[in-house]
Amino acid sequence: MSRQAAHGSRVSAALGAALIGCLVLGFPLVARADELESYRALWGLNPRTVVWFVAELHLMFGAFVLGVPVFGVILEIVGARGSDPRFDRLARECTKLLSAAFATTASLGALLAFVVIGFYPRVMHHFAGALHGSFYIYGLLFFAEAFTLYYYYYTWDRLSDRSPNERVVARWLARWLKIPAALLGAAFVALAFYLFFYNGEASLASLGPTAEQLSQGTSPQTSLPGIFTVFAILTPIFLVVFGVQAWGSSRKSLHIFYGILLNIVGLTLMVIANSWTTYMMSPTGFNEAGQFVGDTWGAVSNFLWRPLNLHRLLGNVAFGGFVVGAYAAVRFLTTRDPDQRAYYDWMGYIGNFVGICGLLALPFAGYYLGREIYSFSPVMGNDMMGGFFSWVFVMQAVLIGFLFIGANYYLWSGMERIEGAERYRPWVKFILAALILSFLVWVTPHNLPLRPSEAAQMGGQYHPVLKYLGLMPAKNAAVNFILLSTYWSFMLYRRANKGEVADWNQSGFARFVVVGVAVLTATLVGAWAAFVFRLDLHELSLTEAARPVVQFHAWFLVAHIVAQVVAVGLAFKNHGKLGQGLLLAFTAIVAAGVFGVSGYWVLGAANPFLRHLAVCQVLLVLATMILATAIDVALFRGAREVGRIRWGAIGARPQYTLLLLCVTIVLTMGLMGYLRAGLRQDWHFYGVLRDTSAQAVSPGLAEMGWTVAAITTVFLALVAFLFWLGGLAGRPEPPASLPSPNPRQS
Amino acid sequence: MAHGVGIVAFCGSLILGFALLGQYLEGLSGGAPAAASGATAGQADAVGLVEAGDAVFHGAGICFACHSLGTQGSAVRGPNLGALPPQWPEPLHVRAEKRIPGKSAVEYLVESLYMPDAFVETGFPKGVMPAVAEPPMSLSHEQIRSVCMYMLDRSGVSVGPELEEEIRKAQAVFGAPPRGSPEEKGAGSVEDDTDVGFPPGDPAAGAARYQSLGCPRCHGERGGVAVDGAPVLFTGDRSHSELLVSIVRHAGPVDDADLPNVPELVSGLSVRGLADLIGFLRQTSEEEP
Repeated sequence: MSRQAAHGSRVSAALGAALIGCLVLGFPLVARADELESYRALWGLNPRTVVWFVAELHLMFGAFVLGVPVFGVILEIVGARGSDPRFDRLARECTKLLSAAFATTASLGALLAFVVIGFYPRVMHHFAGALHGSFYIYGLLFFAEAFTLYYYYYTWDRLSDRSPNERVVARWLARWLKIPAALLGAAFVALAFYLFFYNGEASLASLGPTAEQLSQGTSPQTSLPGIFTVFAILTPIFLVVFGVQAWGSSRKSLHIFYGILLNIVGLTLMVIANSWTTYMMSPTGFNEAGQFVGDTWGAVSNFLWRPLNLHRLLGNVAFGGFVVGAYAAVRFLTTRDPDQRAYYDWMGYIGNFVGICGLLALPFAGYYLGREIYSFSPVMGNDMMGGFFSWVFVMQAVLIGFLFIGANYYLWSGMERIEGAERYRPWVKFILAALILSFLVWVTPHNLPLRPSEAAQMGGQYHPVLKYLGLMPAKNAAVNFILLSTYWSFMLYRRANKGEVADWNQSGFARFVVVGVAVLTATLVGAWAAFVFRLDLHELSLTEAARPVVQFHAWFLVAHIVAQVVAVGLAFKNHGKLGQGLLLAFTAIVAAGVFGVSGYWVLGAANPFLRHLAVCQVLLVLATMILATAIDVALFRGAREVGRIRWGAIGARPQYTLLLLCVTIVLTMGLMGYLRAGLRQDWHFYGVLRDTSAQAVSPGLAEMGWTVAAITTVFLALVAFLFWLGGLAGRPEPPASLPSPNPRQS
Repeated sequence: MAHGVGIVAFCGSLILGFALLGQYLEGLSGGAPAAASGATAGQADAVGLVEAGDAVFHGAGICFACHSLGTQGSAVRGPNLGALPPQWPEPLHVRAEKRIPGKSAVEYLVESLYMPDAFVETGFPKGVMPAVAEPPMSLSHEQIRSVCMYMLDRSGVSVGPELEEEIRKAQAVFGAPPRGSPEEKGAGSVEDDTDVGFPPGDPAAGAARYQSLGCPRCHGERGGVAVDGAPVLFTGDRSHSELLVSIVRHAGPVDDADLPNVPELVSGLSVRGLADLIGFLRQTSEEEP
């Protein structure tokens, strides 16, 4: 290992040891609960603001260092399998940014631990009592994260060779372990999803946690320790088999293995830290006297843990993508070299693409989290959506609008550099209109801010027409329409320089992949339709009179399956674009149009079914995006290209759009952090340990705005500094021979 | 350099815009929150309680998020607490009076706040409305009284000291301290209650009530037997209010569909009936070894 790498590892190891040390040392200091102060302050600082600041900064850096490896490894894999050297260069550059940010993330984490222990000793006592088992695992994992990260980065050149391993034993292992590694990997992913992202049947049936689940940890997994044991045994076996198979394949494969290992460790760190956050919102294992009587796994596996895991995973990907995009924008704007400009233009596109990928799925994860918050505590849910925090969602709507419209604008601007894209320019105004109208619906509050005279003129507190736009059916319809519009933008970008598609029969194996994907999407939609058809209305406190309402929606799910079959059928008949278009149109009409209107019917006649209706909409949109993408890949495989992509031939406005996206997503993260913490109101642990400090009041929007603005400024300044610092080591040169200016679409 | 300045200025203006948006929306939405959310009425008169109740309804209680009041509001998660034909043709106090035979409108409303799942309107799910006196809402007895006054006032009932007293009596079952008691001055949640000077009850009437409710099946003929996990009904030196709270709040649902659901059994009792039942249990506790 080089001196630099060794130094980096020592720094990170020291930070990890410091973190463990402060936790271990801090614990005895808070062990004597009866003599503990509840709160402390220092230097006249507001302790809550200090914790807020440090925690949010740590979260932002954490999002970056966890999000970037996810797509960094994917980029490296794409580069290893293809002939475009830019992907590997980009993956390496992302990892370089990562290594600069990692130490800062760890330092902020240690600082956060210090301030919480110092300012809130009693809170930390309760925390430690329930969760200290996870603290040690978390601290130890830091070593693994540091070592893996630096090894992954500093062996990039050493393990860059893609040629197969020449040793006979190695080739034998690579060949015979391929299938076991794939099977173990699939099992690992499935179990990890089940353990860390799936909230159990209570979530599906909208029943919420039972009293027993609340006291013991609310997932079915807590009553099935066998599954966790299986996972614990499977994981090292999978890693060993996969690692050996990778070693046997090639050095590059081994390097990719380390990247995947880095992601596994990083995601484990994330889910552990998430459990501390959600434990404060949905604590488990307390008896009526407020004493913790549960266990660590029960405390970790609390009701909101899994929804937050999913939301943060997707959010990290979007966050990382947009930050990388902003980095590329800055590099583009500050260089005059045409090759560098071309490279960073392309990098910005990739960053935006990754950001959009995360962004498209985020509303679903956010809805899931919000719904589970509501299931856990209707008080929290009502406060979030209809009470004190309802205006936060107006601000969120503004930011999300910026994100989606900005991401779309960047794509449309990018089409200017693609020869042949002018064919699709007429679509832009329709997509823009759809986005703006949907955004206006989304941002309309249910409760208009009125003076008494205005309310008297209007005849009441709520506008006779606009009030309906403030309810969930309208919001769900709007967001699904935004997602489909953005997806359509991206589809147009993909085919911008493509001519007529080749014969479907020449698309090779991809055709059969489309069939497989269609089976998957149809099964998903069909399974939910079956669930809805057989729904026990009494469990939702509904009578059979509500059955027609429920069945109405289930039949549309069935119709969507038919639409999927039709789309695939048309593709096989060489009318793939028509099939895609019909599928997208049908989904838009049903998910946004029909279900948007029928949602009001459900509100009035079968209110508890409304959450199931939202799942219907989500599934339709997700299934459509997945299937339409599969058809698109097969459809345009081998299509004739009618123009080239002139990377670098783009103005400054799209680059500033990338900066807008980065700033906006950082602000959104700050805003949502305020919301998540504020939902606890004056509770440290919701419903268990009350906040009796002088700061036990939810800050208003103005204070929140200025605080989040300050945090964002500090974060961006630190990131800029770190990236500059990382750049002092020497800037990477563009590849010796760039591919032709018209590479295949990414 | 030019682009560097432009980048910083652009990002700075976005961030500043966000902060100013927050400031603007706070002004639009009514200003920053007060240090304590919700209102406490103190020893207010009846009219003052109605105003305090309005503040609780739209503040600490977040009632407005789920309940409309006639034509005011458009929340549909919970039943409309006013008159809105055709689904809600009658005012609240009229509906409440008819809801449970033998239970007055005030008793019904008070119990619905302390035990929301005791009576749930058809078409609305159980387990959604929280018990407002318990964490996390933890409304005080006074706040609950004020919101009752507010709802009844909106329903067209004449508010005054008599109505307030009626509400207090209904609240006594749930441990609310009597007017002017030392506990009232400092009491917050139900957890802070002490004995409320509850009437002693008639043990003979309580014995008859004990039999008619089927209590012996789980607790034996005189409360001294524990069957299938049901507790022994030994009162010890617990106060009347402690016993009341224990019966109406801590008697949880049983899993076996054949066994009676205790809250549903006792929820049909009047205050007198509960007092008689406790009187009988005290007697048996004193007599049993």
